Amino acid sequence: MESNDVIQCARLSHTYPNGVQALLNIDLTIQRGEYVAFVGQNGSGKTTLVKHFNGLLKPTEGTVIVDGFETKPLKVSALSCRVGYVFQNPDDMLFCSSVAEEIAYGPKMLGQPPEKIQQVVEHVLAELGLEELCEMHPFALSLGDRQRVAVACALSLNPEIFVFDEPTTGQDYFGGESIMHLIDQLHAAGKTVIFITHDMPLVAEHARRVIVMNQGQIALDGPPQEVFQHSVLLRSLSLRSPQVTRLAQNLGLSKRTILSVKEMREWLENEYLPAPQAARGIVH
Amino acid sequence: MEPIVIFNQVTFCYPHTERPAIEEISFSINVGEFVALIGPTGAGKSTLCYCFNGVVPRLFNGSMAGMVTVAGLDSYQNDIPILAEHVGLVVQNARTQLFNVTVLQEVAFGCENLGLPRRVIQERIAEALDFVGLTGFEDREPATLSGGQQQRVAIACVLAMNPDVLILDEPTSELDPIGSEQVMEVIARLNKELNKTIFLVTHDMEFVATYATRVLVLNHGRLVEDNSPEIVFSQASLLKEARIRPPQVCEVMSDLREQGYRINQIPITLESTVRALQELRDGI
Repeated sequence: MESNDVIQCARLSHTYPNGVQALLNIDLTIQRGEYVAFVGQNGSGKTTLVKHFNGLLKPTEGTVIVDGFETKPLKVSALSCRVGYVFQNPDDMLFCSSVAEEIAYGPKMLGQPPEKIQQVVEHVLAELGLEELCEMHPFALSLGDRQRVAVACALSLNPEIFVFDEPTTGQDYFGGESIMHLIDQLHAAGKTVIFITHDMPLVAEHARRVIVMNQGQIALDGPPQEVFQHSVLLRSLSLRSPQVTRLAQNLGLSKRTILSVKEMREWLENEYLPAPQAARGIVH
Repeated sequence: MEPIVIFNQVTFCYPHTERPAIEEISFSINVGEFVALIGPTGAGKSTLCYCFNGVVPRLFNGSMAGMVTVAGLDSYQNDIPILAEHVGLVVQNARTQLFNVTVLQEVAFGCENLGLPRRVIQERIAEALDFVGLTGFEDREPATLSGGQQQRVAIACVLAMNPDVLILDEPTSELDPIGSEQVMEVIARLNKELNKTIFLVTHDMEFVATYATRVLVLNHGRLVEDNSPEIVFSQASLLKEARIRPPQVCEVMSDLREQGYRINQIPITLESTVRALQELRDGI
């Protein structure tokens, strides 16, 4: 039977071989089609947790069920067509000598026939606007383009779930936005999208659910409107709401949470400020 | 007084590339200034940072034209160790810079290479660790520290060598928001309390607005603006061209001004924006 719960963690704990307890008793369910951001200070367990979603790590206690399969007995390759994982640094996952070979690698490893692989490569190149780069060596590309190739590799196996670890780190604002646009499109196409970031405006403007990690546990879990209201608590967790959110709070708005520049401007114009004419005062 | 840093028509081209990474760069910095360098990825920001201490062109081969002078020393004529007494560089990822077994050895390393007497080195280590808030961490292994703590160790290493100028290349890009704030506070105190000249590369425009007194904008290897943060952040077309998003408060206030609200100078920090909006509401 098809369940809507694509990821279920039950009393998940993870202790690394060196004794560091990175996750402690996590209970978490993510449903098909959700758009989830994981945030939290360095070392809070974000990456350790999402590495359980594709079997890169296995629970040392508790269980993780992905798309109906318990991950513990599975090989990473068994989950690779269900969960696409894009590393923080694209150079950690790129190693072929052309963009096309890089994209073909996953399907090839799963033993797909050459015609099918060719079809997939062409489709993915077109999807991400990488056609012109297909013969290029990945390391001759800019960081932004390498990041897109890494996304293309994940897309080539057509997984239902995508995990992105800090997809915009090291990018300038527009580079980051273009990657987030790709991720938005995956979500719009019905995929389950999970990402990790330190960029709170990015979370506020894109994610539908925010999970705040602290010392291996979930400290907050809710829509961005709710999570970013807890300014003081967030600060104690080493996080900071977007600047517009703090601006609205400083101006005394407490009954709702402003998440974007557009929302801020609308609230100022419609509720906080008098009309521009009146605000001009008695200046000639 | 002679400026502490002078770039005179500096052009640098990496081997096997046609377009220079930086081109005809000229500016000078006075003692005690806090300068931020901003620009899109690939603009040449890191290359420019490596010119201060002679790493470009001495370690990174390539063809260079023009002249860089730091503390009166021509960076081409003087060896890197000589320049290191006057200019310290902190790179983006502190982990690539830290390699010793303990924090103490790490911070001692630069001073030992300067050939300072043991007693002076001990004093310098104690002062530097105190300054970055890591007294008591002497025997810790750098790899076991948080990202923010590692970055502060890297700053302490440079500080212990007591340079006049500190170059910081994206020191907070991989840190959580509060870890970033703590690193920025340390940098601000180096400037205010010790009168160190700061040259900071960052993508975080909120930090630029809060701390820098002067902003250089680099795009396609060329310096396209050199001005106060207030003036830089009020130029929408320049920012768009250089793929820079100003602080959210600047976007909000620019939008309001376009709607006809009387705003003479766009505020650039949260505090000044709160005041400006309260005045606008009260018709002052």
